[in-house]
Amino acid sequence: MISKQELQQGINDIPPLSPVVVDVLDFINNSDEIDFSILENKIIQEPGLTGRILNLANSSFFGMPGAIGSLKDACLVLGINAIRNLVISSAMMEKFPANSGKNLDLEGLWKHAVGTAAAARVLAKHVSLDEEQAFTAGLLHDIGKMILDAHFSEQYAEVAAYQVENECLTCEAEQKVIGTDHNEVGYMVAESWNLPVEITHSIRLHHSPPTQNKAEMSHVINLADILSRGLGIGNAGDPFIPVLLPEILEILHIGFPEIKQNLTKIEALAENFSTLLD
Amino acid sequence: MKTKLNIPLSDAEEGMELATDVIDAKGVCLISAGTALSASSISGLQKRNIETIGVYKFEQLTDEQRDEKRKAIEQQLDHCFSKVIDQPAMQQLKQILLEHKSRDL
Repeated sequence: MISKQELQQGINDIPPLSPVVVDVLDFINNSDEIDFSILENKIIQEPGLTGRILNLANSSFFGMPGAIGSLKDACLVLGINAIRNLVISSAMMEKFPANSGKNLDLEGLWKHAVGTAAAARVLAKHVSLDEEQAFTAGLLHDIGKMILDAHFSEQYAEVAAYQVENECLTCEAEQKVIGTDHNEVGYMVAESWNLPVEITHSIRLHHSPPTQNKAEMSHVINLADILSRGLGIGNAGDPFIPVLLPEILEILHIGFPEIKQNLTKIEALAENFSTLLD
Repeated sequence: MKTKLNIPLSDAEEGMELATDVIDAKGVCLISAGTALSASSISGLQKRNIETIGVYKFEQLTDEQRDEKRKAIEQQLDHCFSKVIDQPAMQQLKQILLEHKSRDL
């Protein structure tokens, strides 16, 4: 078990996002009118970030394959919300590279996240929620697993062993071994990084979304995670599908025939995007 | 049965259907998935130094092979759904996934 104090201390010790990312997100969050030239000058200071943003912007996820040649074009064509999401996604992919897993198959987990992002994008369109935000929330929903694996790796090795031995969902193993789970840890860290509230909430609630509210991002991510697992995209850390509550389908106004119609689209989106993870 | 296959560009033939976007070193998408290759698109990709592409391969299965593949899909889904199969909604979800995954057999 990790005590609350140890957990908080461990989270406080996690390095912050890079100064460039923090500066860019602050600039976007605190400006009423964005001067794209200033934004471009800020982002360009980190070449890795710039390259990744352009790669993402040119992927079929953003509907403009191959058309975006510069950061300024990306800002003009995609709009500021999409840029914010691109900055966040790029920063997370830099922070937890696919080859850096200690106990986790991180490459598989990123692929699962991509499958979830793809499904989230399709579902968000269906319920008229922000598609880019859904994509980012899907990509980051399991960030807590990556944080636990990187920063509490000894305890997470025990979680992994417990999961295998007891053939249970990762959440259950996390609760038994460390007394908290990736939803909560991901939420705490995402909050400390000042990520948008829709994203932090969906990280926290993707396994237990509210069952009485109108459709919000956590409902989308709950179903998207289940579909990504069901389609067998990547490796979520355990081979089991969590339960889907019928209420979630009602809240999202979606039925199984509509889900079935969209499975091919979700797979194609995920396939295209996973080439950009390298 | 339709399966995805990565092949060297030198093996590409006219009419093959792309299974994945062709993306160059800068991340720019040159041709989208789903497009059928033409002689001119193949030569365009050669000029841009693309080395491998993902295409669909079509293969005729015997009834026995088809049953075997379907059984393997079912077994994988049985394991995946083993904790939740008593829920009616999960049974429905499992069924649509089974139909989806075995659609091209």
